Amino acid sequence: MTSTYRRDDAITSALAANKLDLRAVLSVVLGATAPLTVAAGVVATAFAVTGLVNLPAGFIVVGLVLALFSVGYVAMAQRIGYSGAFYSYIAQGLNKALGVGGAWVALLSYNLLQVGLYGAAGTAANPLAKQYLGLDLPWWVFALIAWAIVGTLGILNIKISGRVLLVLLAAEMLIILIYSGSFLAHPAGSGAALQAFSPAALFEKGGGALLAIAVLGFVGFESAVVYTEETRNPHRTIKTATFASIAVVGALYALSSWALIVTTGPDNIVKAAQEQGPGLLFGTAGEQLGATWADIGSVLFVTSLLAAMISFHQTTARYTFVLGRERVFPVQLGTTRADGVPRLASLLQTLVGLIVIVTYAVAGWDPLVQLFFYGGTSGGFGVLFLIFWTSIAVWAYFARNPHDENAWRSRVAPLLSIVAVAVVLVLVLVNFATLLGVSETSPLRWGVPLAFLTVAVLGTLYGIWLRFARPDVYAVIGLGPAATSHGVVRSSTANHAAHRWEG
Amino acid sequence: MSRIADDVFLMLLDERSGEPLAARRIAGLTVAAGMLAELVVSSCLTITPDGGVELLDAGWPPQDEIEAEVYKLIHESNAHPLRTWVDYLALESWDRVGRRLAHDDVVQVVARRRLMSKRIAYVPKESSAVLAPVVRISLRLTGEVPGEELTLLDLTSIGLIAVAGLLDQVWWDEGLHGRARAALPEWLSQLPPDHPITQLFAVTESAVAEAVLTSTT
Repeated sequence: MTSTYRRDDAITSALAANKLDLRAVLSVVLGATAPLTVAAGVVATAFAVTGLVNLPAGFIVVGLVLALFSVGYVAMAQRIGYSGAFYSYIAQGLNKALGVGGAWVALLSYNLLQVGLYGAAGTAANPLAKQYLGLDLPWWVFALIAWAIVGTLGILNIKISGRVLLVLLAAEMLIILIYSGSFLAHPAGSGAALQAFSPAALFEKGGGALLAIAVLGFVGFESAVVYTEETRNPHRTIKTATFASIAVVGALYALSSWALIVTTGPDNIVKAAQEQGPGLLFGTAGEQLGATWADIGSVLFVTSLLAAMISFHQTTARYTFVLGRERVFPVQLGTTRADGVPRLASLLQTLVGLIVIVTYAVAGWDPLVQLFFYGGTSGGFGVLFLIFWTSIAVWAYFARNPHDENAWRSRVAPLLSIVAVAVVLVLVLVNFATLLGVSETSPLRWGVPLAFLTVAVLGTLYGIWLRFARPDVYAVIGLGPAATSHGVVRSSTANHAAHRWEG
Repeated sequence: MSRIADDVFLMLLDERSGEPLAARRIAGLTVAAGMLAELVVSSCLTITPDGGVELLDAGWPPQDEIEAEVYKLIHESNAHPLRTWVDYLALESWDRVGRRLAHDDVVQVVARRRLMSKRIAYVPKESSAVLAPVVRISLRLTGEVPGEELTLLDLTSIGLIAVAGLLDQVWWDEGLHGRARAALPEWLSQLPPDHPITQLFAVTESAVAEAVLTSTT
């Protein structure tokens, strides 16, 4: 008995020693959220485009909704084999054909989020290059440089060290806190501007647009469950990492956006954001703290953008890889190089980025609003759409498989989540024109939501076709790494000379 | 006589550097699966339909030191699923099999100093040692040499390489390699779905995919 205990202790310990702890998972999840990209880029552009100031309320409300969603989400993650993607929940909770629809929506969303960042990178790098290198080049030159860096790092599997990411993340969060402290210590004449936290304003005309922007800030929280098998104590670690990341992100963005309103004044913030864009944060910090602090923030903004671009590139490439392994996409996309890089999936995402940058450059479209903001908010809308379907899938899964899960996690929270996310989704849809800063008659107003709906329907139809035309592929949809080739390669020759290998 | 883990190791060995051609973890998982496959082929172990591992008396005692070590480890432990064993053995499989091949005088152990660490490499004493399993298996897959029949050991070795996505490291030209690659799916399809080796293939493929997805390669 003693020797058996010691042996199992040794096996469990040895495996645990190579697994991730809470700090490692949290740094990966938070690193992907790129705080300064949101605090400087998204927030200012949101004020400028929507003309609304209740973004702090939006971050808090969305944070609470996502926390409610995560109760059932994390509980289901610990029950199903592959929990690394929303579509696998939809496939296993609802229906595999709907899961394919979800996968297509996810790929569109994450690609939009990734390529949108090239617009911000190009816009942010231009003034820095002018100031420090004396170079005045078009935004797309810097965007292409960023694209080349991301593509090269992706294909060569050069990972930015976890420690470097953690240091950058800590620096970004620290700079946001320092700026916010200074802003709150230098209020404009209008006082504490607490109306910015009013959730009631989110239900007024245009208010729902802020919810989609807020969702954008949280994208990445869902990735903690990818590491379920790689953590030492998955039940506790994944749950803590998910909720902690929502809390940290929500608090940080609510604070920083509110502090910016306080120091600029709620009556001036929109105009200031329209005039200065992401530079509003750094310009205001420079006036209050000195140029050095502004420069530090500007440099960290660029590294933040790079980190976010790399993170979304990897997410998209790995999504494509899984779908290739499941044969939902061409099987070649599900292959890797010997170093474990999903090469073709990575190249495909890189190609998408190039096409978008070139298109915007040739068409002369605005990189900050029409690429960064539109791409980011549309991608955020897509993720919200996915979260809605996933919340239904979670409820349906536990309705069929209650296991020994308590009522709060398996029934109450998922049901409340469906309602809460539906409310947010409806508010966003009603105010989509405000979100994009276009008129109600603009083709984009319904064009973007309909595009996602179309993609979801087409994906679902493809999934239905797979069910009848390729049942072996259909059978493994949503299984992720557990979808193995032997069940798919094996076909009519399955029983041929099978006796040869018996015994 | 060749052994599965040895074949897998040699097929994944860079003969110049003595390092694995694949990412360390992927190579480790594949070789670990090879170690377990040796026990299956020698009737020391089988894999249950629910993915568990069951020791058999028929093959006892195992002929090889590593096989005996793994057998004893499994025997003295509580039941773990096959996947746990693959993960656990993968922690040191590359070095264990490397040392076995060094003992057999196939490779030599070379310690290389890096900036902050030391790395052990296994440099083949003759380059033909690395090529031998590839050539043997390729010829048997294509049936080009009369009297040379593909064995379960051969199929398992190349099957593990295939499910780990590493065939490009082993077969790179259009001649014999191309013909062998074309012949492989037919041979693999002949393994019954409930054969222990088929289950080992599935678990290995899944483990490698998960390593890719979590960037822990």
